[in-house]
Amino acid sequence: MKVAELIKQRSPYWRELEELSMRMGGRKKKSDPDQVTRFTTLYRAACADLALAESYQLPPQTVEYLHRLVGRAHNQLYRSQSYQLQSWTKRIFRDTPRQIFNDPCIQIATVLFWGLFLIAGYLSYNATIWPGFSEAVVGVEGLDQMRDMYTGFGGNNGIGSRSFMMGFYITNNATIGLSCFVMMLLVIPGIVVLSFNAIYLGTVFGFMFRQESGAASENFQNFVTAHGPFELTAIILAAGAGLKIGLSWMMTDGLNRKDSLLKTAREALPIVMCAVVLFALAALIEGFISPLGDFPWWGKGTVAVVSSCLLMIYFVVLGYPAAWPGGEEDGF
Amino acid sequence: MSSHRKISAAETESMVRGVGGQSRPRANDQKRIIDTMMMVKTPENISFQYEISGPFYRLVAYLADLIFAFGGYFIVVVSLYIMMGMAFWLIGDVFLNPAQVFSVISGVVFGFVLVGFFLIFWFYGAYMEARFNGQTLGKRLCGIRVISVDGHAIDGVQATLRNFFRFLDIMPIVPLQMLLGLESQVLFAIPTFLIGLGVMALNGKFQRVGDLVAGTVVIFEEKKHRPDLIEFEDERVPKLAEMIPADFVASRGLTQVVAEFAEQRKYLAPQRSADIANHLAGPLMERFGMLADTDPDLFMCSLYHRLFVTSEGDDSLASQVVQAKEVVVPSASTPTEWGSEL
Repeated sequence: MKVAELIKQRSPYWRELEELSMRMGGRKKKSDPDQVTRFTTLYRAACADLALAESYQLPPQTVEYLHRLVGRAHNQLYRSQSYQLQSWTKRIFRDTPRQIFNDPCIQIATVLFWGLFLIAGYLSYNATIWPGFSEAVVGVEGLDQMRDMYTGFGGNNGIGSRSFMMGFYITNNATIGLSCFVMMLLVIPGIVVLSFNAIYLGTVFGFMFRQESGAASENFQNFVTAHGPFELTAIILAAGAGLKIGLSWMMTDGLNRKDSLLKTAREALPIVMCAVVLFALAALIEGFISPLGDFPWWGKGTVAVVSSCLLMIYFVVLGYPAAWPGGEEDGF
Repeated sequence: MSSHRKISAAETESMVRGVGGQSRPRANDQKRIIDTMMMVKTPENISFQYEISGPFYRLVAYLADLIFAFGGYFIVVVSLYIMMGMAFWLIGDVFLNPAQVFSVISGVVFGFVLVGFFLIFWFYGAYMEARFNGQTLGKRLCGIRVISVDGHAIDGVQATLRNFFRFLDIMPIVPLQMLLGLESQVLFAIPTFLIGLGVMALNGKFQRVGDLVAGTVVIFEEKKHRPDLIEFEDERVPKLAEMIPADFVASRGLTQVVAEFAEQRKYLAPQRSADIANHLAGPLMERFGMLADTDPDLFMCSLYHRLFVTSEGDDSLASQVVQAKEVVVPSASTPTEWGSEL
């Protein structure tokens, strides 16, 4: 068999495979069965040709072509699995809460965030301990702005402006959360972002809760109560998931660094998606319920209590590790 | 000069290795290491190569994506507002207070526009890559594709992760004021992509941070390669090929070298081409008893012609081809038109 003849003989099949993989690549709906059978037959033939290229003594150019052809067809044959929705219910309602419940990184993030938040809040509230603390963190202008904002509060009650604010909150807050998650890969920048947010928020809270803030204080409490639980939890979840990934390539638990990173990233993604959902819920509440000036405070309190209860059910009831080894004797 | 010596050494080696031809796989391995190639072993137990895409090609794809995604979104939003305005202009009178109703509706719409912006910013790439087999619009345009490092298609988790971590790859973000020393209230931030570029430079597969976290790699998927043999216009080539002794059997190494030479010839200057050919052709021309003033370049082309176009090949090769046919055609299990054709 001459090489030239061999190439001439096989080329039509190669070209057919090339054309089929191009056609199947752009197609959204399912290809018809005959075409798929034909495709796989051609693919196997091309694979065999490539495997035997050395025995055939094919020139490098042809071998190169075959590599590309097989590669391209391989990508069509083993297509991406996209998002498998069936397995998601199990993942959302069983695996993820258990994972969150058990995760030391999320516990660390919780302690870090709330610790800094409360310390900054107290320092800012009680101006005698560290005079000028809140001014140093937020700046005098910032504090004034904050006070002005909440003094004349409750004006924008139109549904249009509320939707706009909801969109703004989702974009802004979820972006902060996700960037915190991403920065945590390098641990230190992530911790800086998380700590900054905790201290800043704590300071603003402490400042606005002071007696001298007057009407602004009342309005502020009225505003933040309803959406607080979801939003603060979401920040912690995003940061915790990021910290998990960041630590995975330092503490590898017997794997090599790359594999440890891959494995942990896969585990952490549901947690950060959970955070995104919480950010969206928080933004809905923040956009539509929180700004209601005439809505009684106890009503917003109820929203906060209900959302906290939902979080509790999700993290503790669903997350309580039923089959956790040693879970019963752990004294929970 | 040094490169000249290196090439001739390698080529001489392959000539000397000669008839046995057992060292062929080693030479192939070396080639893989030099180039930015990635080997994939399929479930069918076939190994093949992908060419890995570099950072600047991918930047083009990314910019194209930005234009498609945000430009497209901008056009959709603007046309939506124009349509809303026109609708109000036509039927706005049914409301008691059209201006107020319009401002409410446009507020609601703008809220959703912002949500859409957020979704596009964080999830456009993830969705496209998961849905369209590792390709966004920009990647499709550039002929590149994301696959797992093990050669499989990527799944939704990988697509989402690698696109989330792009946020880290574009760091550090430098405010334009800082670069130009402007005094301005409005903040224009320029992503410098330095982290991504640095990480890509440090690993052999051009993986940015997002790729490392998701275990993916971006490969070329060009269509322009051709399987055909080289055809020479020079009429002397077949004539000279006939003068090569009929009983001459080339080793695999020699065959490979001749093919490489013939394929690379068009990229070389004539002088350089003749230079290389001289090293390769000299000993063979001597062996075949050809005249010393035969053009070595022409001789190499003739050898190519002889080896690939007119040579019958040896018996072992022929039997392998027969075997290969039996492997290739699944005529017994799936009777298609294949069986009769081959």
